[in-house]
Order: sequence, then C-alpha cells, then structure tokens
Amino acid sequence: EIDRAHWVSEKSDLMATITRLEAEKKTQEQLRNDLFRRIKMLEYALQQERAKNQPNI
Amino acid sequence: MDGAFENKSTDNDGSDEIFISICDVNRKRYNSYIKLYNFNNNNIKMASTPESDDYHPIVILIDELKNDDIQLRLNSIRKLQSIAKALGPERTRSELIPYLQDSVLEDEDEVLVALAEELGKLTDFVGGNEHATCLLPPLQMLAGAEEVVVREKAVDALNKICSELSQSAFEDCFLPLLLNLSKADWFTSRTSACGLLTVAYPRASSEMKKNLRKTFSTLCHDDTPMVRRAAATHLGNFSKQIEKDAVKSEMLPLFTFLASDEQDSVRLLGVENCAIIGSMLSNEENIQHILPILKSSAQDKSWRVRYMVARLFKELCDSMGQEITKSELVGSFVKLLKDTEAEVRTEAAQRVTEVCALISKDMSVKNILPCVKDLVSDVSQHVRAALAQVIMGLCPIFGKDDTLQYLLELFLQLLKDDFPDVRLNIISKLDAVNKVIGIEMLSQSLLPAIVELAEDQQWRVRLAIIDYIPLLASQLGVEFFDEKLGNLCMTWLGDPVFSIREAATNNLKKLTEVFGVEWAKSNIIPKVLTLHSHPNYLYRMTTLFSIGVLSPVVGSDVIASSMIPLLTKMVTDKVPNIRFNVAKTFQIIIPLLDSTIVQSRVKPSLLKLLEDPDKDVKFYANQALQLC
Repeated sequence: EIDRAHWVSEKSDLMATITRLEAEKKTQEQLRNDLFRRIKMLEYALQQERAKNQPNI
Repeated sequence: MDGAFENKSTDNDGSDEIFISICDVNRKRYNSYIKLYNFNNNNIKMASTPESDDYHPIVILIDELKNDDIQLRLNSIRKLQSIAKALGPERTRSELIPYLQDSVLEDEDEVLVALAEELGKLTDFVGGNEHATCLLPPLQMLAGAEEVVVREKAVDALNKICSELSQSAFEDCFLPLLLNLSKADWFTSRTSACGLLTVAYPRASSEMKKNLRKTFSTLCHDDTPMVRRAAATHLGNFSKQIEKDAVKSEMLPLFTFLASDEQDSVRLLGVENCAIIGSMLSNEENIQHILPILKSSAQDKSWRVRYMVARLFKELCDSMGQEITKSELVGSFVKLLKDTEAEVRTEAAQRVTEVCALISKDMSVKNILPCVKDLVSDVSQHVRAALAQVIMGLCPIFGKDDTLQYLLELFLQLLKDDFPDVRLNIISKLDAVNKVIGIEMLSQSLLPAIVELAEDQQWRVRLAIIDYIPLLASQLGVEFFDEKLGNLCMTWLGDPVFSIREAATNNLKKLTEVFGVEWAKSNIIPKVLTLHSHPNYLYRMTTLFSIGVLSPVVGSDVIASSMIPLLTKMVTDKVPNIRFNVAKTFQIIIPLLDSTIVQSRVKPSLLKLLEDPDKDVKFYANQALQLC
C-alpha cells in the first residue's frame, strides 16, 4: 500500500517535471525562431544598405 | 560666345548640325542610363517586396510581441536596439517610435519596465542628440503608468535623455513635457514630474526657473499624499540646485509645510531634508528655520518620524554643525534614547558612539552615559544588542581611566546578558577595548566574567561561551590564551554533558586553525591524550573524538607520532564501545596517512579488531579495512 502511494507520488512528480521541461523547450524554440527572424531582418537591412551605397562608389 | 554659336547653327546647317546631333545622342544615352538605373533600382525593390514584408523590422516586432509567453516578449523588447539598427535612424523615428507609443503601452508591467529602460538607451539609434526629442512622448506615457517601478524607470530614462538634449530642444520639448506631467489628471504623472525637476532646473532660463519653482510648490501642496511624498523625497536634492536666496524664500516655507503634514509618511521624509538643507544654510539660519522643525520631529507623535530622526542623527549633527549639536541636539538625543518605542531606542543606541565622537567628553559623561546605563538593562533585547554593538567604540573616546571607571562595569553586565547576540557583539569587538586599556587590565576584569560563565550551572550558557572562544582567542592572542583560557578548554572535555564535550572538541580544531599546528602539538595534544586513561569510558571516548576532529588539521607527522600509538593501545580496551570507536577513528585518519604507515601500523590493529567477539566492533573494523 505504502509502496503504491510512493509510486503514485513519484509518478506525478515525474509528470510535472516532463511538463515543465516541455514548456521550457517550447519557449526556447520560439526564442530561437524569433532570433532567426531577427538575423534575417538584419541581413536584409544590410543588403539594402549595400544596394543603396554601391552605385555611388 | 553662346549667342554666336546659336547664330551660326541657325544660319548654316551642315557640319554644325552633325555636332548637335552628337550632343543629342549623348544626352539620350545619359537619360536612358538614368532610366535604366531607376528601373533597376525599382526592380530590386519590387522583386524583394514580398521578402521585405516578412523581414520588415516592425512586422517582426509586432509578431514577437503577439506571443503569449511574457519571457519572449521581454526578450524582444530587450533587443529593441537591433530593430532600431535595422530600420536606420530615420525610419526608427517615423515608424518604430510611433508604433511603440500607440500599441505597446498596454502590455504587462514587466515589459513596460524593460521598454522604459531600452528607450533611455535609444538616443544613438534615432539619429543622435538632435533627434532625441522623439523619445520623449512614449516615455511621457510610461511616466504616467500605474506601476511604481515603471514610472521610476521612465523617470530615469527621461533624466538621462534630458542631459543629452541640446539647449533649444530642452526648452522646446522637455520643459513642456515636464509641465504637462505636473498638471496631469492622474497623480501618477504628477509624482513622476517631481523626479524630473532636479535635472531640468539647472538648464532652464531664469524665467523658466521661476516657473519650475512654482510648479514644485504646487506639487508640494497637492491633494494626494502620494504626490506630496514624492515632492518631499526630492525636496532636498532639488534645493541643492537652486540659488541660495530662492532656497530661503521659497524652499523653506515648502519644507516647513511638508514637515507639518498630516500624514506621517510625508513628515518622515522631511527629516532627511533637514540634513540636506541644513548643510546649505549658515548657523543662524539653521537655528531659525531648521532647528524648530528638527526638534518637533524628534518629539513627533508618530514613532516612525522619531525613528527617522534617530537613524539620521549623525547626518543631522554634521549638517547643523558642532555648536547647535552641543547646545540643542544632545537634549533631543537623550530623549530619543529614552523613547517609549523600542525601535526608536534601538536606532538611537546604535548612534551612541557617533554622537559621542562629535561632542566633548564631559558632555558625554554627563548627558549620554546615564542613558547608556539605563539601556544596558533595557527590556528589549534588540536595544541591548544594538548598544553592545557600538558601546566598545566609546573606549577610545573616553580614554583609559574613564573607560575603567564607567564603561567596564557596563561591559561586564552586557557580557552576562541572557540574549546571545548581546554577548556575541561584546566579545567580537573586544580588540577595541584591548587597545585602550591594555591586555592586562582587560584580562583582570574580563577573565573572571568569562570563567564564571564557563562554569555556569546551565549547560546552554557554557555552550554559548564555547562558541565564542575561537573568536576571543584570535583577538586576544596566544600568550593570553595559554595563560588563562587553555585550562578552561580542557576542562570542557571532561564535562558531564555530551553536547559540551562535542563542542569542546570542535573548539580545539578551530583553535588549531587560529594558532597553528606547532602550538597544537605542544599545548593541546598532550593534554587531550592523557584523558585516554580515564576510568569512565565516556571520557576515554572524548579522546577518540578529539583525534577524529584534530587529525585533518594537524598533518600526518603528528598523527603518526602521537595518535596511532594511542589508538593501538586502545584496541584492547575492555569496553566494546571504545573498541568500535577506535575502528571508526581509523576510518577518518586512514585517508590522511601514507600507505606504508597504514599497512605497517594501522592494518594489524584493525585485523585484531576483526576477531572481536562483539559484532559492532567487527562491522566497523571491516568497514575501515576496506579503506586500507
């Protein structure tokens, strides 16, 4: 009986850990996407800037 | 020349016509080149339009701020600079800032705090100082936010930008903003305005300065206590920026007004201003203006105000100068030391040394000392602890004779206090007394008290003193310790209460750390080892515990030369408890020894213990053998 209760509590603990880690992973993924888009944005801005300056040179 | 050329061309065709046509061709070529260039340029733009929408910085920002996770929104605001960089200064001004102003301000407070911070750093990205004014509108809105932290950050950012603005921008944009805030409907904006005045004032024109002073005066008379509190907080620093006669004519009435506010939270902020404004005025002016307020604050009906006075007493004394301190403030201080609230007495007690350092010795003895005597037997333990923390500092001020005459008695009384913090505070500052009255005098008067406590009936009292011994020893030095306290430490090893014996063994270890291994070898170890022949097995066990505790600090030579022989001897003890504790002690010292010594001198003993009839002895011996 005690073993069972112990097992149940352990399982719920583990489940909680899994949900937490999953949420963390999701956040990190989203963050990575955002950062990726920022890089693209900066690349694009740099390209624009170059295109603007090239003919003058 | 031109006219002649035209005439020629109209008169004669032929060769000239050809010349013109060449020019035309050239012009056409040039035009077509320009067209082509424009077309190409448009082409680049058109071709990349779908892409540019996706990677348009503001679109990205909007997307990021749509996210549900606050952490992600926070991250994206924290990297606002990269968006501004991609946009370039012009578009940052025309697109990003208006967007932020319109839409982001609805977000959570945490994001707003970050935004206020970032906006303060954005000057370079909107095109430098001359364009910094475009940052003001969003910050103005943030300065009116409901959350205090957001407002504070916005005010910080505004102050930062203010120092970067050019004079004309300052007058055209910053000052109107300041005045708007100070007249806003919500009290939140008005509290923010209080924080901006100090930075804005020095740069304003003289007419504007007058206006700002009037604004501040309205804020001081605000209906809401929140705004009055903000005004009181900034009163001192604002006054510092102001010309002296304006301080006298305009700030002093405001100061007096706030110091008699009905809310104690406003009044207590006035105390700090006493110190700041007092340091700006002359002695006579202080007596006339500041002193009455200070005196009434010291007797305020709210204890929080009195607490502030006690807490800032040193600063107040400094700003008022020596004369006023001696004639007026000492009386107030005595009253604070006798306050009905323990919190006030605690703060006042903590200032005793600082205040005595400012006034003459006779005065301290006459006025302060009687109060200190009362405080030594105060009902609140916090008051006594606060006093114990600083009272030792009085010795250098009083000098040798007066310390002996007046203070020593108080020290001894505090040393016997029930509350451990009081005793600890006294013992931890003993070196200050030592310097003044010398170690001889100190030991004569202090030692009896310590010995008395060390032999107290209550074992908790004895335990408390043991905890302080290493500290005491490090302050008083090795000779003093050997002479007077050494024996005491050894008698604790034979205490009837186990906790005392345990604490005493740990104490030996700490003493070894303080005085070094050589000292331990000649002073502690021989005495500890003599206990091994005690008829009671519990005391014999103390020897084993001491060996266990001391061995990590004394080094392998000492262990091998004096401890192992003893342990080998005790293997044959008739009490099994001793025998298995020998095995346990071996477990501690084996890792500290050379393997040859272990094999030749430790292992035989353990093998002997393994043959023991008692099963516990066998168990521990076996455990120890596995380490060999």
